[in-house]
Amino acid sequence: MDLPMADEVSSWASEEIPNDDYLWMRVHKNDLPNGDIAPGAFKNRPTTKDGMSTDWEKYATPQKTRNRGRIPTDNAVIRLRVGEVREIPDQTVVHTPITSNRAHTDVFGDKHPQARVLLTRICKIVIPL
Amino acid sequence: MLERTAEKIEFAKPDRDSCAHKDRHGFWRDEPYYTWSQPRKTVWVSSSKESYYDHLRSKAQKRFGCRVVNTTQQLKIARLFLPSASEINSLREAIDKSRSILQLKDDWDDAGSVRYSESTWNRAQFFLMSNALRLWRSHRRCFAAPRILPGPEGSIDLHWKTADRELLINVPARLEGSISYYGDDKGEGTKNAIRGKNLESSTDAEWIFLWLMK
Repeated sequence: MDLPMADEVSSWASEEIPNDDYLWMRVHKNDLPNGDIAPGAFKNRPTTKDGMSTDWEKYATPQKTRNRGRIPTDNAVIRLRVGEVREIPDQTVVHTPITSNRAHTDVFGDKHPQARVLLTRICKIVIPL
Repeated sequence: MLERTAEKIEFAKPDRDSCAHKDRHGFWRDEPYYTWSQPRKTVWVSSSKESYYDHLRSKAQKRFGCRVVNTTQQLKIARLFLPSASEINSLREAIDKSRSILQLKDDWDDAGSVRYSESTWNRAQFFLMSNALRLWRSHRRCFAAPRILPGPEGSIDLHWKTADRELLINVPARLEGSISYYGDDKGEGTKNAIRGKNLESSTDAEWIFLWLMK
């Protein structure tokens, strides 16, 4: 779930992710006011045209995802079911491995208010702060 | 009472040896001064203040033909135009508390998110307060305070979650950007959800708050 470098070449092939699989995603403590996930936690990075970075469970664990953060203890980890993410308007899930992280997966699509509200509903915290 | 004390001091019986009053002491009497020497000065103590103001009120009423109301009536009138203290205070408190968003620096989430500008925050708080007052004037109702949260790309999120409904309004960082929203009812799901943009430019944005409180 590292921020992908613009032209980073991956030695891993992109794979199709089944709908029943899960994605792990770090959520920073500033996006967890009073322990609840803020809709603002779901955003495309580094720009709105990019995707929202997550890790595919096939090649990552929640702990590995957390440890990729700059300060791991400042982050919780949530899980999202791929099929449910794909049901949210305008959202597509694409496996985009990078050299340093084979699990890297992007959720592309505008993170408009509807998408963010629905994402907060389907996520579940697996590693709390 | 203070005024009365000051009066007594001013007109106190002078000392017999006082040069200024040596020829006058015979004229001093123990009765209050106004009974013999000069007309009573207008002294208003707390108990008579009300009647004095009543007097001024009726005088103004006669002179200008207007209706002058007392404090109780003023409060009743104010209640018609302003939300009650508790309702507006909780909203005001939430807005004040949300100023902490402005303390966040660039890269506040260790993932490159940008800071929040004062103009975006001002736009968000103006949107809330102006709609709260407008709603009160037209419907005598006030919506609950939202969670005011950091949104993506320097925008600010206003988030309500009631027992039945959820509403997210996004105030973008760019001043020319339009305010977007999404809301739905748990019972109805996304079928009858409300979503759109340009909420701020709408002349009757209060409908969204009426929807939320339904």
